[in-house]
Amino acid sequence: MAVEHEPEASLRDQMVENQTIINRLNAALARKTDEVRIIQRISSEINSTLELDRILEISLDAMDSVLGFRHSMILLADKDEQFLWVAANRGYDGLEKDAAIPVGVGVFGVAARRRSVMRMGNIGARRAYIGGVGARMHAAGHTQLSQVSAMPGLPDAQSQMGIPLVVKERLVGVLGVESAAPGAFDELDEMLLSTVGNQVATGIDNAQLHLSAIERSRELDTANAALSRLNETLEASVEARTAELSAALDEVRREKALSENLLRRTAPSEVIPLMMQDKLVAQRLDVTIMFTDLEGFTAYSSGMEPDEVFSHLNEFFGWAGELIGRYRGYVNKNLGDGIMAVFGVPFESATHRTDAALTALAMQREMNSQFPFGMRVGINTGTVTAGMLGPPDKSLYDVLGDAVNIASRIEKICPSGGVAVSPSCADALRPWFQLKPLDEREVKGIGQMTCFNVVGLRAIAEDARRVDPTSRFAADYLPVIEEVEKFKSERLGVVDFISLQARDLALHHNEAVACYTVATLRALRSESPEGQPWKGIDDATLIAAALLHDAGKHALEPARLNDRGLDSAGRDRLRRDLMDSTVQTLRQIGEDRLIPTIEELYRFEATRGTDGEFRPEVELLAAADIYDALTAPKIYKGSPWRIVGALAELMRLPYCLRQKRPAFTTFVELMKPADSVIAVRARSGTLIR
Amino acid sequence: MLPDEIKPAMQGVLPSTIVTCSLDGIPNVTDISQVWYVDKDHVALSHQFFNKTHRNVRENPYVQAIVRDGRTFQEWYLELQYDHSEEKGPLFDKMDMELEAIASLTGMSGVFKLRAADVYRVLSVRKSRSRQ
Repeated sequence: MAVEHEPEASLRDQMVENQTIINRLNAALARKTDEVRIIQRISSEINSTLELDRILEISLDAMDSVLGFRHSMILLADKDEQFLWVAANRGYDGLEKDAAIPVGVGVFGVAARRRSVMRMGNIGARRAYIGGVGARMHAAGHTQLSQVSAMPGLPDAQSQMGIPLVVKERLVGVLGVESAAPGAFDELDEMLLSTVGNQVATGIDNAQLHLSAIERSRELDTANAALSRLNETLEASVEARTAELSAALDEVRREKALSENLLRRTAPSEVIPLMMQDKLVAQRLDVTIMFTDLEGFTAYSSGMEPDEVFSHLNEFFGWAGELIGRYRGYVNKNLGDGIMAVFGVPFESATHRTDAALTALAMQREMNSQFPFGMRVGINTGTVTAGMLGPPDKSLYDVLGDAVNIASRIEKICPSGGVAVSPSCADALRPWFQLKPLDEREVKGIGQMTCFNVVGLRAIAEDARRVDPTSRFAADYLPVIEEVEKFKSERLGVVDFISLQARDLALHHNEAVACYTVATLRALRSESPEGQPWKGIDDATLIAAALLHDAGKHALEPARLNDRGLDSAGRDRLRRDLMDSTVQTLRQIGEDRLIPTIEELYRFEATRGTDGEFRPEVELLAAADIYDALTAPKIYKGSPWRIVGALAELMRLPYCLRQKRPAFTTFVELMKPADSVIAVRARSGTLIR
Repeated sequence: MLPDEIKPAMQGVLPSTIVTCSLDGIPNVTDISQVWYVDKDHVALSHQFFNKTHRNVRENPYVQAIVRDGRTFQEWYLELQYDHSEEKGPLFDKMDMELEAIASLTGMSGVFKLRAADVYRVLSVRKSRSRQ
């Protein structure tokens, strides 16, 4: 007979315990599965509306019926996050309207302040302990303890759970649940309510944004209405006021013009802003001084009434002043019937020597046709000090130095109708000008000195650095030069090419480019009479394009044009600005039809011909332009290239290496010295050694 | 080592008892409001005042604790060994927040200062038999 053993007491207990555990786990699992469904439902309901009241209702409904929290409330934070107002509640009777909890007080207040979920299940016990200590302290005389008013909610809540609602770092409010029973909420409740809390927070935030958007649009409507009423009344008063104001403005403008005119007489216009700000200081500058003196004026004006004398003189001064200004000179003073002009003030200039010489030449060239008397000119370059000189109410922008006196003395020894320059000045001018030495003379203060007379600019045909005397161009195409000159004066008389070219000393550049281009075109035509595309190009248009291809120079600062220190980015910018300015100028003078060709020319030069195909006119212009840039003396480049070197460089352009270019080849043939050979190394494939 | 079902006993609903002993063998018994559940092998006590318990633990790290479930009145016996103190971090913050919440309700903000959260390792846990 088997004896039935009773399981040991400990084993039975263990089995009961295990069952309890299993039951609990099952319950937890069931809750967890429900959890997801609950959250989803609540979430979709909350997201279905933008009305705040509705959202609060849905949330509390969910907390009560679905999650089983009997007493719950939603608190919303005020703007400054100082207080939490009870916005909605469930499970309370007679909760005060407008009840508030200060942030930082109680479980809900601390959850808000610290923005952290808080769950407490032993509030009663803790309060009793701390409250006891407080009472003892109070009895002992510590009266600084503040009194706290009654909090909204259950009077003796033992358990409380507060979920802070935070959206994008803004405290929206707190989700709160409480219970009269201690330890009423566990970890799972905390997790569930946190998840719901996130949904509720976003929903409330959206609703609030929506509300404020509605508010804002209503505000705007009201504002708009007020504004349009205001506009009407305003327009009427504005009209009246405008009439008053424009009268006053005209008055002010007149005064301003008057004072500016006065100022302009005493200093170059660039200096005036500095004067106004009291920032003008004396400086040492390298300048060129020009003295002019009229010959035969005394004889001419003898017997004239004073009025007439002055009228003639002032006419001369007006004309001379405009010319001097065009070449960026400054009329310092008039001395009787003479003028003293300074080039290179108030800022350093790279072109002051040539500016002075060109001004003098221009004046002498036109003197005969303008005035019945002759003129002498003396020019010297040197260092002076420049600044405002004179008593306070009569000061003048003036220059001081030996160079000034020497210029005056050189003028005295100048032949009639000539332009006399000092030896040092002559050296600087030689690359561009034809000079003739004067007799050696004693110049007071220096001693014996051989000055020079500036005869004029070197002609292209006689400039061996540009045109080789043995080239085919020199042999067959020199008449083109005169043709271009005639075209220039007849068709483009409105443009002063010399003053344009003076800015960066590209003297005769445009004429040279025009000559080379047209000569090459004609050479190509003679090689193949019916050959396109050369037959279809119009000579006059080509000449015009050549002459005007950099007409925009007048709008760019000479300092920029002559900058030797430009890097490739700077050069690109300069090229772009020059092109824009040229296009504008072409429009101003009505030569719009040249614009596409000019733009293509700039593109060619910017990319050295690698950017696609180009019009035949552009090929011709580019060859001539690049060649002259290399061979003619300029400021911003070093020494000019020899002709042979320049031509070889043309053939090395990527444009020419890609395939045969008849325009370039013919140009080279035309310009090269008779006995030279321009080696052209075409890029071959693999070199087998 | 701590089972999940001990958690309700560590909510501070009913006071817990702490027993410590000095190095020279003098025991000390006191009641505190809560023993905190940290993880399966650790609990924490709030350190607010310097007192005999605290002095004893500094000399002798071994502590016995009795925690009570507020609903079932089930008692648990714990043997603990002092491990380390934390003056900042999530555990400290949690304790500090609760202190702040209660103190603010009774107008005692700033009076009670939490000095540290003392963390203990659980050496053993035993459920006491219910005698009904």
